[in-house]
Amino acid sequence: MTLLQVKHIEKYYGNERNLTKALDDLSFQVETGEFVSIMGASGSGKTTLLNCISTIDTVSAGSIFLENEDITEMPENNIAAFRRNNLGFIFQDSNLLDTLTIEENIALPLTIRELPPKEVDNLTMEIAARLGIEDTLSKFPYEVSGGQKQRCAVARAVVTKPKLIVADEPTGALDSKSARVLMELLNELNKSLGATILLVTHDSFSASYAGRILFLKDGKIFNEIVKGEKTSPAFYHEILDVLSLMGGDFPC
Amino acid sequence: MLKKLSFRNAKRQAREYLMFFATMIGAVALIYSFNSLVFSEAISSLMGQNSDTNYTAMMVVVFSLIIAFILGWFVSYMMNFVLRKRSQELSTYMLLGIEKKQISKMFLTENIVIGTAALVIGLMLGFLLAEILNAMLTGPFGGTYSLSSGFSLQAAGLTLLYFIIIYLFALIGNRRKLNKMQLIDLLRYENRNETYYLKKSWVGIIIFCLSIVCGAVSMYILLRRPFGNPLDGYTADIYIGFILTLLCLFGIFSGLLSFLHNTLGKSKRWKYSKTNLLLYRLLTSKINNMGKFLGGIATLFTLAITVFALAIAFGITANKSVELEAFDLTILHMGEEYDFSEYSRYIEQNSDVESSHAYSLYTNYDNAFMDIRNQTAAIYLDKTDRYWPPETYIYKENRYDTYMKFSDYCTLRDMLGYEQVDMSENEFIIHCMPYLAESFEKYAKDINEISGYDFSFAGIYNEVFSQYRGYGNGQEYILVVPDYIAEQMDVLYSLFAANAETSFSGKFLALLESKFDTLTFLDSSSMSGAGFSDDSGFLSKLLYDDMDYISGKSAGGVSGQELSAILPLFYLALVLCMIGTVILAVQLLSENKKHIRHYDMLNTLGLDRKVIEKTAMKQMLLYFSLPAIPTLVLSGGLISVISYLVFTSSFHVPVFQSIANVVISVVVATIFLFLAVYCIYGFVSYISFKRDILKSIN
Repeated sequence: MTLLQVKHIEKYYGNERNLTKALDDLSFQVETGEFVSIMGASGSGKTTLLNCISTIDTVSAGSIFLENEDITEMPENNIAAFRRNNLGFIFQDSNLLDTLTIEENIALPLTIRELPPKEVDNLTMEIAARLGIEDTLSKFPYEVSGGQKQRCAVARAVVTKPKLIVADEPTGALDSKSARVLMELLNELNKSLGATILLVTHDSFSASYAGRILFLKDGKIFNEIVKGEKTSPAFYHEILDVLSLMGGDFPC
Repeated sequence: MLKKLSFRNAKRQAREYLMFFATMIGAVALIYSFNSLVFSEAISSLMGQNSDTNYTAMMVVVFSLIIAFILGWFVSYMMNFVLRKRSQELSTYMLLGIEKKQISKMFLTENIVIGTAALVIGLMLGFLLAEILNAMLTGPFGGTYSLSSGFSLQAAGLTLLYFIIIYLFALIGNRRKLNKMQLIDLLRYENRNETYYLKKSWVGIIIFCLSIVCGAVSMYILLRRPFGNPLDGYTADIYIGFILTLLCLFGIFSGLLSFLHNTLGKSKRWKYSKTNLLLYRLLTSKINNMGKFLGGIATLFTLAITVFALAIAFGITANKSVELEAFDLTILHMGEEYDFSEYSRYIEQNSDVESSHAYSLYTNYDNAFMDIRNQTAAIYLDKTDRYWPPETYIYKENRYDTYMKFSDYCTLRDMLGYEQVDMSENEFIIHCMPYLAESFEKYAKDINEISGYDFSFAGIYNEVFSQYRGYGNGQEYILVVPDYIAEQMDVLYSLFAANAETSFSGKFLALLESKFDTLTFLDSSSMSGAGFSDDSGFLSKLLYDDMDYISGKSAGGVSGQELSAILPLFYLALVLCMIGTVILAVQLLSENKKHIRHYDMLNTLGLDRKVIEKTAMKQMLLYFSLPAIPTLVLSGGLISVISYLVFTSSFHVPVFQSIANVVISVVVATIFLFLAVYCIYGFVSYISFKRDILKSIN
């Protein structure tokens, strides 16, 4: 079943004299339970695309459908509720609130949904146990490592069981080991919970965990590859091949 | 290069911390304007007839010094805030190899630039403010206002001195802090966090409980006054109560966080419902950092409220003193009928006198009414804890029943615009202060004889008639009899009463006194301690036998002492209020970025705009009510006691219809005044806070 449909979207920045086309007639779709990566160089439009899909930004033209609902036409008053009920966010710098403990940070989206306090607590504990971060629950974000912070951010993103998880460079600030642990976690969540994940990254290794990769260049889809039955090393090399074809300005 | 950097930073800092800059300007302006007021000619002439001018000047100087220290603390707080704001920038300088000494010097230069700018602008503003204050103060008190006071060098010099003290105080503290600081401290300064109280939550609970106990005990001591002595105005109780109030305010916020943390914070049921989680954390993280800070703010506000209330209470007392005087000017001549024409001619030629009358008061050396007066006054004195017998509050000259001719009475009533009264040849009238009316009326109905003639009681009147504090139309009462009866009695003293179209200026009265060698001012300060007593045991204020005494509304209605207290008190209250609100504003500003980030994240996670607005409003409400609630509760008790004591000690007989109502009016007026300023400020802060947040989530 198709969860997300992006149809001919365009996004312009600037004024008439100095117009930047960030997204240029872009179309693709994501099926329910799919793990899709979007890769591209800096300025290729990948974060803009993610922002438009997650209603943080608006498109200049085109439509985005989530389960047949056009979110570009959605009245402003409904946008917050839409995000609350459908999306989970993971950011590069985790964006946890400093004044809240890890536990409270995870519970926050549930309290925003106004779930009963008991249920909030149960769901928080459940996801913390699943992600192995029970020990850090009473700590504040500045008291834990970057990797633990990101795991907490993942917990916050999935605790509401959203239809779509959008992750913007979640491994960008992590060392390679923490990055691998985080990607395995996302992969596991995708497999076991059937969570649909849309990941933006410029790191080939992180991207290789996805089932399908879209390559963006100058606001357009330059290429698309599917993992299918390929082994991970084979898929990783395929990614590197595409990148070298695109211009090769990516770190491996 | 560093100089250029420093100058640029000073410029940027001045823009970024406009509020700090404005407050510095305001502080300089206030210090200058009040100092110049003390040195101004207009005020000296207003106070000319009083010997209290030096006392006023001294009071203002002492108050200004206190304010200089408070401002010093504030400036150092602001510098610390600036340091925190720029810790990243400073750490970059250090990483680049600029020495700490140089940075410290740069900071100094920067602050001197800002300080000098504030000083110059503040002095100019202060000059304007001084002119306005001068006009405002001399107007109602009868002084002649002139714009000639000009720029006062003395005041400017004193202001400069205070300013240097303030800056030195702040700079030394700041420099020490900066020199001690390591690079790592600077890098972490912004994120330094608040785990101290969390780890020792039980300490907080004990502090909180102790604070509540302190507050309760202070209220008990203030209301019951168990230690004090009415002779010294319950000084011990007020001091102890005041200190306990301050202790309570200082402790309560430090303890509150732990209390919240241990009760609400641990209850997931409470924490996870609605937007409690966010509010709880925004608040506790603030209290965490700011427990002592909020205590300081609450203390500042309590001081401001107390001082405001004192000023209002003194103002009411001063006003009442003026009100009790019916005539703008009276001249008293002792012991005989007197021809006042020489004075009256001079007064008519040199002032805008509207009406005047010369007359005498008489006595038959009876004291039947005086006995009743004493009995009635004794009840009041007992109720207000005064040990002295009522006789203590009578002047020697007024110790007998005092009489007035009916014809004089009618003329005086006419002068004062009162309704005319009728009285037949064998009747008498009583004119007394309201508190005596009931007991006199009861007694007078049974009287049928005065000085051997048959008499009956015609009525009682109690309009204001210059009867308070003696030497007017009797002391608190006078008996009005037909002229022929009075003529058979001895003359007690003669009076010349005059009313002016506007009022007699202080300058004119001073001139009048200096023109005639036989004239002097009657000391109008309170009864206790004034005058001298002779063998009879009664007090007298008439120090010279051969002199005539000037008194009345224009001459001594507002005594120098009262005026000298009101001015600096308002000054102090204003500055305390200003500092408190500015510190609150700065604190809010310093947290603004954090709050914006929080609300932005909440919006991303799907919190509705409306809920965000509501939460922001709740946050601001909590932020502002937190320091205000304990302040209002405690200072409400404090000021009601203080104002009660001011009123009872200022008047030896009940001059107010209900003292409780006057006390309530002082409390209400003070709190209203404070809340008005506070709410306006809170509302403005909320609007800008909401705008900032909504802007960020759009």
